[in-house]
Amino acid sequence: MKGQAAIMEKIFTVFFMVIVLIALIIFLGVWNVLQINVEGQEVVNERAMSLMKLISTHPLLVKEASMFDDSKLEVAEGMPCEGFEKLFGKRWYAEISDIDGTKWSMCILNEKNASYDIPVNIYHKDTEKVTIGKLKVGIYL
Amino acid sequence: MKGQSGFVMIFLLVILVMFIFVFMLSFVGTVRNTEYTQFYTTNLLISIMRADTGETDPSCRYVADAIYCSFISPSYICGTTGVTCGEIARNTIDNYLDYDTSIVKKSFKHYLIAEPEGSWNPVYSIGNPITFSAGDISVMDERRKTAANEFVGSGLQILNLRLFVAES
Repeated sequence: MKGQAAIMEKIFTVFFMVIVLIALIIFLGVWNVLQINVEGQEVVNERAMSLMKLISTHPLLVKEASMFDDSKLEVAEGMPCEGFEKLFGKRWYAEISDIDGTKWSMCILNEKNASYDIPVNIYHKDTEKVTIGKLKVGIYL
Repeated sequence: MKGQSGFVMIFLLVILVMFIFVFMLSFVGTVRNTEYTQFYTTNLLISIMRADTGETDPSCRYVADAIYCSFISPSYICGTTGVTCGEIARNTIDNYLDYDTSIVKKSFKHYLIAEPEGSWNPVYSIGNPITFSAGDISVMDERRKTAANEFVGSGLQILNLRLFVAES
């Protein structure tokens, strides 16, 4: 009886250790996948941020840093997306919206994306007024 | 006795493994984009200051002008509006910081304050200093907040405009 109890105790010990080891392996696998996702997200974040800084300062679109010129935006909106590839790369979009709801967009596709937005100014060439708006830059995933 | 110590060992092992799990999990999902928050804060402050108030009077044409005017000449009536520079500045800023305008992010709260720099001490009357602030003052109680600042004015009469942003 005492011998049987000792064997059972050993079996339980080994069983629990195996369970713990399996849990550890599963956890490490999940953790690794999560880390890869986080790193992927960081890469997207970095690209979106660089693109946002580039777009908000590029003389093709702005009058001065973070102040978009509406006449330049009108022209840019009519340009094909391929025209921007040399400047800003591929698979991105930008949308500039004024506080009154007017919008200018470039390279918009109906695809999954990660985006950032920041407040910017919009210079209205006709009236010489500066309004506040928003720049949204996204990266297609 | 031997059996008990075996179970105690297993229990300690389980606790240790759980501790490792929690410790490792704490590193996942802690990607805070502080670069974005700083860029957002700086851009918001600059964009607000450079925006038109809707008035053509040079003393209060832009928000920065109107705030400065509210310290230099607190009783000055802006253009044909019948209101002071301070009121024009406050109304414009309150409008821009309103979540309904969708300029500011709903996940952030904002607080803007203008303070005279150095020994300059503008007052309405003796013992009654001029102050200007807008937004949610509870941002100042947050441990983690981002700040941006701009100076306006000239000579010895310089204003330090500071914007604080914290997650809400």
